[in-house]
Amino acid sequence: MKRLDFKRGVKIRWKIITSCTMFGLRESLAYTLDNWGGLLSMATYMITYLIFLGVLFGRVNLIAGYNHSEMLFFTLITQINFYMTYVFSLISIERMGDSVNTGTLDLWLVKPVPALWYVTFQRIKLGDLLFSAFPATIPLLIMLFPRWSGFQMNWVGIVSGILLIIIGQVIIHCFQFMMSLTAFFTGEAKNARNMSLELSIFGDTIPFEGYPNFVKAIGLTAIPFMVHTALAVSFFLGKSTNYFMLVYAFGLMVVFLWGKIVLWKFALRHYSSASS
Amino acid sequence: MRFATYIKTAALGFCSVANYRTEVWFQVAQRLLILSGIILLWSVIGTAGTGQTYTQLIAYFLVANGVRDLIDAQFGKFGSSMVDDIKAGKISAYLLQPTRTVIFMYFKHLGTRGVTIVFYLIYIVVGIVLAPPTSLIACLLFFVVVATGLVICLAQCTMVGCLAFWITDAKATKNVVNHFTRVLSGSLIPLTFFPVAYQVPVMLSPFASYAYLPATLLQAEKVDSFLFLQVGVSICWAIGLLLISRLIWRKGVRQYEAVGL
Repeated sequence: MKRLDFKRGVKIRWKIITSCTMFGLRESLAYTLDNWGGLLSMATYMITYLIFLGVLFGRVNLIAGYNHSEMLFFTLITQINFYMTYVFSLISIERMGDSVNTGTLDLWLVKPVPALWYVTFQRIKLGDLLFSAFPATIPLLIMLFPRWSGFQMNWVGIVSGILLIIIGQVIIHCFQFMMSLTAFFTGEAKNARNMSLELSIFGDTIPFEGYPNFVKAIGLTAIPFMVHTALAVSFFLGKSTNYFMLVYAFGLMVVFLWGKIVLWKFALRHYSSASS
Repeated sequence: MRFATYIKTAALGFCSVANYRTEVWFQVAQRLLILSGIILLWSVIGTAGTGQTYTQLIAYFLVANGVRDLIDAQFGKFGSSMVDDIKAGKISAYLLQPTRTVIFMYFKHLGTRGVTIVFYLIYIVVGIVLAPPTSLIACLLFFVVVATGLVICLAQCTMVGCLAFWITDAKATKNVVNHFTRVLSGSLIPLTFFPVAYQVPVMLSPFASYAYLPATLLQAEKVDSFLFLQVGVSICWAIGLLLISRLIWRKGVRQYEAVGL
């Protein structure tokens, strides 16, 4: 019986993810002009950031031990992480905050689906990833391509880096989600969400080796901005080889996932509907 | 009477935001975080290429970011609020009022920024304390440039916002302008870092008035002819862009009337 319940639980969760993804894709395709606008915006960001890096490396040779090519690779991972956060996490969190503010959450809570799962994955904008994010990254990939052979990479480092990106993404999602739960107590979470995003990407400008130890300590514990980009790139490029960090990051992910569930239940107990 | 209406509108905007006090603090903390990120980045890069001491560099970024945010040039949120009002049709009600619509909308938006404006003034004051200005003329020119920066930003936001009359949602265009502003204003990287061939065009662009020029003026020991030229160009940009934005606004409103009313 319990096994049957488990299978049913997995099935309904998979159904929620696929349905929300398909709806998000249809939504993206419906607004063609919006897609072009998004692509233009992302491409401009990429180009201006590359100009910034170019100008900077016109005056300095290394930033925290990273040369221009390595910083371009760092930027690539930063972009991948940002798009992943935006597509898989941020939009759903934004909708959750708004739903508390407007009272729409009532409707979601009465649906016969796991509420936390539904709130987490209610809108996955895969269209933005395919039609805006990927094309906007092409200028960076073109710049990186001839420099690729200069990187000191090995398979263990690459696998570790990929694992750290995935773990880091889960951690920052939980962190952003928990901060956005302030909507349940204050009625609005727009700036709390923006703040959580800024905190999450705080480690996306400087390589891991450039931070003072106390910032590293904060970024690997309470405010987890180090794992998904800074630490991951350090492993990719073979600058870090302490594989204990992988186990630690996994443990941190479990703690943040647990924290997310506990705080969600706590917030729900304090939810006073705006629509009733 | 009309000006009193604008002040009341700003007060109303302030009250609507002040209801969510926690949110205001989150916004302040967010800006503080962005600034600390820039300072941290420059502490890693070092000051060797800038010809400044570390204190001067921090003062530069405090003033540059303070002025940029004070005049709303970081995100150009007035442009967003204008796009939203046009898109949602709220502008119909504003057009019927016996006020100047753009100024009315600007004051409404200004009120929502009340608390954060105080915070940006603190940025500038701390910057001045860290590296006190030495030239009185430069200080006076600083106020002129902040005023021209404000007008340029208002004109830029109006032009971007007016695009909503034609393409309904102009937020992507606003973001494109913001990305250029971020790098070309000098709030992320001093414009002196640019290659020599590009320095003059970048310093004479309207974006320089948002951050680089005010911050440089406060740190200038004497005002040379090039600084005077930059201030003069900034005034020209302000007047020119304001006129263009008025033209676009009028054309946009005519377009809106033809379709909406």
